[in-house]
Amino acid sequence: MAQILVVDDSSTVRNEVGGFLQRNGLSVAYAVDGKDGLSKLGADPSVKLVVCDVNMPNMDGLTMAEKVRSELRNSAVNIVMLTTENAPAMKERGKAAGIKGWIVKPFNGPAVLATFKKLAGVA
Amino acid sequence: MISAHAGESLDRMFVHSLESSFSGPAGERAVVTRIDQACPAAGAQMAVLMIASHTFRLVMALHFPPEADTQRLLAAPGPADENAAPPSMRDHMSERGNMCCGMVNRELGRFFAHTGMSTPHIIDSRSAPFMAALPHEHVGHWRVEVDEQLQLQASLCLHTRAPMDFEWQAQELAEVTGELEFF
Repeated sequence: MAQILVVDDSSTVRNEVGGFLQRNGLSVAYAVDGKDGLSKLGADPSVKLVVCDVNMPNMDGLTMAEKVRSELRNSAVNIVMLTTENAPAMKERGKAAGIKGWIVKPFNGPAVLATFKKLAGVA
Repeated sequence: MISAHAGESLDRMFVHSLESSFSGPAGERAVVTRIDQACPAAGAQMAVLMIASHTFRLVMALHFPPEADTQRLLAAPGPADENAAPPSMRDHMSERGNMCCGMVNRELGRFFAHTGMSTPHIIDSRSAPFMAALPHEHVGHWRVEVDEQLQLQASLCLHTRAPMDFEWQAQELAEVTGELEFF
């Protein structure tokens, strides 16, 4: 049972983001790519927020977001992309998939903590 | 095929991204100095990333000692998952390279359409001299002093397929990183 799922192929990012969220009282699960993220999200309906990279092996983050809606039929979970990408076309694709927001790396925990808590249904 | 001020702009962009991407845990910025040649130590590895469009290909390499202690560089005090191993230097350098290349990609995207960026690849630094054998119009090397104990080297190699001319100053950097853009 986790409130937030962090999906990134980099263990550095998983530790940095997940560690910050855990130290601030949130329960976190991890996935190493979009395919793993889709599987973990399907197995744990308690997840309220997904923080997801875009460029990953096996399945990218935008494809994962689309499949969350189309295959898992989960329209309730909030999805935020955390990526080095900032291309308008990618953001438009994300919007079409119903993602909630976009963060350009590096991750700034204090800047987003309050919003993440709201999206995770905590605050 | 690259103008003088485009070359200088690209160098400024790369140095700025290195300084930003290799800031220390307390936010101190890395010191980046131009050098004539990259001379990675024996056993060093390099994280290689590319940015390409139909008019150019840019190769970036970060040379790093694989045995360096990554934990000193991380803001987080330790792994979030107690069962997980601490991030390796390979993973850490891949992510720092990803952020560095990402910034250059975003800035080049202001001047050139349809740029795309690779994911990082880790290869042995003995391959570094072969970068000079790639077709190129612009090459540069820098020393990156992260702190007293860790020095990296970085290389940049540009091949153009059409004339390249643009001018970029760090003051023009308008992007805000780390903040949530709500949709």
